[in-house]
Amino acid sequence: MRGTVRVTRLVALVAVLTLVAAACSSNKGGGESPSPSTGGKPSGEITFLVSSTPTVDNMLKMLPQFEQQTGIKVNVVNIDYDAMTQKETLDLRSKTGQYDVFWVEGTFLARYSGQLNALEPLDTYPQSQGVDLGLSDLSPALANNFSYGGHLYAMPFENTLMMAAYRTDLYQKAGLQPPATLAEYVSDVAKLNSPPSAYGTEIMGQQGEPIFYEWVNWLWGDGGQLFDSSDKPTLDTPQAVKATEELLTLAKSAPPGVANYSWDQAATSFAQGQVSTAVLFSDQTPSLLDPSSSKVVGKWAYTPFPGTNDTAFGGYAWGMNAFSKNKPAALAFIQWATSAEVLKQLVPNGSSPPRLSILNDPTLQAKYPWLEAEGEASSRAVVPISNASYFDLVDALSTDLNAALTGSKTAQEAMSDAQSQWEQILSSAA
Amino acid sequence: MPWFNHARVASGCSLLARHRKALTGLTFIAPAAVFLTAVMGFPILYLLRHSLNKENFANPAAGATFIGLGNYLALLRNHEFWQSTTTTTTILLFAVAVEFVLGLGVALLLQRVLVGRRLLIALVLIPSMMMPIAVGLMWRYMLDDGYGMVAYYLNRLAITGQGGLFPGSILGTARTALASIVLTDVWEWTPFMALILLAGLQSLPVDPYEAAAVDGASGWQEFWHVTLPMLRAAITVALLIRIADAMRILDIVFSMTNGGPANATQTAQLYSYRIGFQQFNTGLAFAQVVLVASATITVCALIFRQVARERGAA
Amino acid sequence: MTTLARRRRAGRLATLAAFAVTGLFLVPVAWTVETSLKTKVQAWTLPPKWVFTPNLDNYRTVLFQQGFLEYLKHSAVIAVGETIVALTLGSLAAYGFERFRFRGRQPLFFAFLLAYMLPEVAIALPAYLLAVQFHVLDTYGLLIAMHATFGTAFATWMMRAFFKEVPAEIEESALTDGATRLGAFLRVTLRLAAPGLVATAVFCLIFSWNDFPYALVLSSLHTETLPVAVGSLKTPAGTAWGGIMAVTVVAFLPTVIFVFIVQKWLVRGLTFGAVK
Repeated sequence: MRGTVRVTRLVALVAVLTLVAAACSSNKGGGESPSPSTGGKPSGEITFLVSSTPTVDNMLKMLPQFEQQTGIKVNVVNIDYDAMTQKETLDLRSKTGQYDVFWVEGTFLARYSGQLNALEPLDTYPQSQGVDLGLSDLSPALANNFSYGGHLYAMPFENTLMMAAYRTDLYQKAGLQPPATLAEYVSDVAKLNSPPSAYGTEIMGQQGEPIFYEWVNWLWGDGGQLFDSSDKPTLDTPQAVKATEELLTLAKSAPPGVANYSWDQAATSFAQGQVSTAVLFSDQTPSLLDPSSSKVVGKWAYTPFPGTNDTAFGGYAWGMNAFSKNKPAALAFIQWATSAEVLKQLVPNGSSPPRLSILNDPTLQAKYPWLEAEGEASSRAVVPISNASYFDLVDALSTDLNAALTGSKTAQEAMSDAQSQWEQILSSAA
Repeated sequence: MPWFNHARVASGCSLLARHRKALTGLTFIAPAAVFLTAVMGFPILYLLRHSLNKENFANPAAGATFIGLGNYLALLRNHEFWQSTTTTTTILLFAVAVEFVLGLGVALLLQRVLVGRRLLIALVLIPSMMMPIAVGLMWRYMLDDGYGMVAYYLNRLAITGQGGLFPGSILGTARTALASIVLTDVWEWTPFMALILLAGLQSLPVDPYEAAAVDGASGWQEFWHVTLPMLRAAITVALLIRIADAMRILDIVFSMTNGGPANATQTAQLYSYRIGFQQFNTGLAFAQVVLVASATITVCALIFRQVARERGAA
Repeated sequence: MTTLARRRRAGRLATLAAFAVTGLFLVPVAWTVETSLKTKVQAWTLPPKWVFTPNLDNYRTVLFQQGFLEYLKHSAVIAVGETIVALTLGSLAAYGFERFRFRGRQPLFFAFLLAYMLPEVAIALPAYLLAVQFHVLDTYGLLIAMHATFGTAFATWMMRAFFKEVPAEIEESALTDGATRLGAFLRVTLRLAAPGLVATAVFCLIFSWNDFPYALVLSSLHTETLPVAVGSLKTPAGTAWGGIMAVTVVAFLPTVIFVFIVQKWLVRGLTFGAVK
């Protein structure tokens, strides 16, 4: 019994000490940064919410330089990508200003700017502070992807495009050219399908955003649209059904697990040499270049998604919280993180630069062959849905697409169901 | 027996003394009760009240319209609501049943172990100590059709994979995906179950066993007629806690399948998360939570009452 | 065969079987540890290589470069805090439920389990709003409080069963000796049920340590816990499996060590007082 008491007392002591240490290590409420100095240089602290990607990680490695130059401390909160919008929406709606700068995608703007009015315009505000973000270095299409109601609300950092990646060695051996049309893509993939050692292609088939982004390129490639000119959904169309059926055809030349493949598995699948062709996001390039994890170094290339129609834009940018308590410092950080100098240093590791000056730089293009394909793709990359009900819509459609992929619905059924679901969502949101 | 004496003393007391006793008891309970009410009171009231609204948390401009039971009715007519509820119940039934049987088996084994029981207990508890979110990621990796270790061996045993009992992708086919979730939950929580049952086994009195031995009961009869009935208390605690846990499964599904394929593995709480924290249709999400929680509470209350009644009768 | 010999043979079989079953359960754990010591290329080879040269790179990266040491600290502080709160409140309440009879005792006892049955996702949103109002968002106190709701409910339930095993006569004699109720509780009952306290503490720690929904919504820069942080290793460009395994090992190692330390009391506690 004495032993028990002694141990209990010891544990209790340690516990109390830990608690005291915790209490003393100042934890005042939600990330309130000290008020910025009025006029003069930006200073103080800001909190930056971001999700890890190779490009982001490389930029964060350079953060000490920024902190040295400016004396501004950047607190980084690194979270699961799937939890991002939840944290941002809560913060913006409650006007807490917990995150000064954060990850914004084009699809978020309808909610963040349109409904919550919580983003600081990055065309007018910097101007008022005498800060130049170099907006002329962005293509109009790209700037448009991050604009809402006529204002730019986020400064592009990674110009994520959907590219068709293919194995130069396998294509050469089979005497094939990289696919220039959708039909060629489908037939190339079938030709190069030799299970179980290597498959033709993989599909990001998981319900949710993955399968949606995978599919929408085919929809547009086949001449279909998500909405018509009066913003009514047009999913129950022959083009939409054709796109779904093309996906099902591709699935025949894909590894068995694709119905559950998300972004990361798609990249890994190609990088491990499992497939010959795949539609990837250009921000996954680093995983293809990294010799410690890629088996296809030097054996792959990008070609733009076949055809000349729109492709899905998945890029992300840095937005500024309209309720930030340290806007000058936030602006200084945004300026630095999206500057040509910083972006140029991220290219060797496989980033997709948003600035025209970098994309079109001939020396860089020579060294990094994927830049040229990306430049072409960038001109026709658009944000697929710019509606505040984005998540509801994607949820409904992706579940139907996944059902078609796993065989519980036919392509036609999936599209009809999706159409009626979209109509219902949009009418109840109105 | 202590209870008996206690009652004797109590019955000799006056009404005032008994009230004073009740008060003392309530004083002990008060701090916890106050704490729980303070921390959970507002959230519960908030969610009850807002479940009666049509509102979108991310759209303050649209405001909140009172629609009474509108959300509830919409859910009861919604296919996805029923699907997520049945999915959760299915996972719960299979997982808890298997955990119970396996856990009981493990507990019985541990009880008879001659050496190294302490080591075994500490080791076998490890799955229960791992982060569910990491466990989900781990099993997703192990069940990956192309690269997973477990998938590899399952394919070799012709249980899955081409020509197996269940052809098609493990996590990409509804039935096997569901089985994978159950498998992961069972792997993670059987040790926990086993531990509680072991505790119960250790505290059983010896006399009934001696009586049974005298009567010439076989091992199986002994187990069924002596052990199990006396284990009732431990079994109840274990079951109630696991049922309450299983109704709330989120992390495992979030990291393994994100609810797929085609919502086949979407559990109730994942559905709440999607409606409430991605679409921010908070009125609907709260209504769903109330419905699911009511079901959980009812089931648990019934079990609780049944056990209390049996114990009173015994 | 005599009963003793039969019991000994059963014991030997049981021991073997127990080790086998435990081993089977731990295969995924062993594999997790192995993967955490592999490089990316090694981790992706099939059939799985069970023998290889281990390296600690994943641990180095995750702990020192990616800040997981900090997340570990947050998780630890919150878990310890929650356990203390839960054990204190829970033990007091359990004692009240066990030793005193009053009208509505059983329903109130069941009501305590409510905290354990409500989905965290639903509670988290109003909790977030309340936290913003009181400026306690992203603080240790908030997360400790939220986790302690689970913990208190669980502790009340567990400790009541342990107190049931403590004979009331011992307390009665302390009372007749002039002790107060509280004194008797602390010095007599709690002491005798101390092993049960340890067992409950282990589970309370585990619950807090592994919580995902509350931490996801309510923690941020100053309090991000391990379960939330581990998701950040799953990036759009590929998942850092080695890193995730390393974090998982780092996450369960402290709890395993703790269980090893308090083994003796844990087992005794789990015998529900069969010391008599």
